[in-house]
Amino acid sequence: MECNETRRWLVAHLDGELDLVHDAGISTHLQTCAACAAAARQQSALRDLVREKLPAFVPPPHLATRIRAQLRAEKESARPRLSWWPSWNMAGVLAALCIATLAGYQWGGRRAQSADFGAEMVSSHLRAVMSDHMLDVVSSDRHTVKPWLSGKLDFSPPVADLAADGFPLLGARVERLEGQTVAALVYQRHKHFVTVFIWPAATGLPFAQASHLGYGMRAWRQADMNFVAVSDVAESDLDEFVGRLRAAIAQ
Amino acid sequence: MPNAYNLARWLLRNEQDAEDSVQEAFLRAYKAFGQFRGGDGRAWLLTIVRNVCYSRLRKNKKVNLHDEFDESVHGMTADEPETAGPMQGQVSSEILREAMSALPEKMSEMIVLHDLEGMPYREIAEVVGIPIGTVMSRLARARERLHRELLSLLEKEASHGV
Repeated sequence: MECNETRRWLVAHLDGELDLVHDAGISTHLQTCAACAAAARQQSALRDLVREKLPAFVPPPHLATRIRAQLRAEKESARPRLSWWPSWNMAGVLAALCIATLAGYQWGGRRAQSADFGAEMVSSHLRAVMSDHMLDVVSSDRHTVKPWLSGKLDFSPPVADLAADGFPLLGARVERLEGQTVAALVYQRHKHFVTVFIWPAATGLPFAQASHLGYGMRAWRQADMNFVAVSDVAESDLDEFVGRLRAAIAQ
Repeated sequence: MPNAYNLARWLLRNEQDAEDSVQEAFLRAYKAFGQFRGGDGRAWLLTIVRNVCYSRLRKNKKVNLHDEFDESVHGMTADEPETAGPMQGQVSSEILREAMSALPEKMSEMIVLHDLEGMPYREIAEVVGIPIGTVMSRLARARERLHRELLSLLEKEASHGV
């Protein structure tokens, strides 16, 4: 491979974004060409410099509050729903179809039915994470959290701490979603949070797994309760979390 | 939210505009929740943020709708003069930020998305709406330009004895 060609692919090579053939060609060239090797060192030094020292702009605290208030207002101004299963409104369907087509998404009826349901969960999780109000009861002790929740709800949700599995319990809050009072347990995974919504299994679960705005969701039924876990952790972490929680509750 | 704000702030270079745009983007995203199916949510959200920011920039006539350079013509070549790269120790975050601010939006967004957000080329291509090959060449040009800006800032600083 020649110098000109090497320089063209150098950034992609250093970013690990090249196909194997080009990548191997560049590696070979860099071993024999001192000038290109120096350019490569300079490139990676610059990249590391940016990654280490370029400060990200941090949003001011009032922005989260503003967005939260706006989303809440939006939620409240939405048409009232009588059940978990939204009744269709023709204008809404048309608007949704237009946006779905524009965005290039394939439309699936079943997913569509569950959209509001999932959106409610995600927006509750988002509002809580963005605001300071994530927990009504702060405790990693299930013997504190469970009685507190039972006192606020007309059911007693199962509570488990998963600190040993890398998902410590932070506490809980009570939420009202689509006319239903639900328990929300909050767990932490490194810098991310997992909210688990729990309510009696009188209503159906519209999906087993879904995703909105980068937030993964897993829904299941266990011990006569419906569970929905919402988080922006990696999909594999979310699956692991659900597996651990189900096992802990089953005990 | 922080990554949305960071992108908006880099594109608009103004706190108030960035805040308004992020808020607008969240509202748009919220209303379109039902239309989002799988895939990467961060890429989806940042696409919306970027769209909001660019319409604002266009309204303010601050940005050319078309790319300012022809990437195929201005490829990287090996015959550029070799300059010593700035050493980690002597470059402060402030200088780095100042150098970044000198880049046109279409370049700085590459560095923000790739180096600050850690996005792979494929996702950047999705967010910006350009082919992956263009992401590669534009990112390379952005880094090259950033390097030049850094060197000139460092030179200025040295000559002023700051």
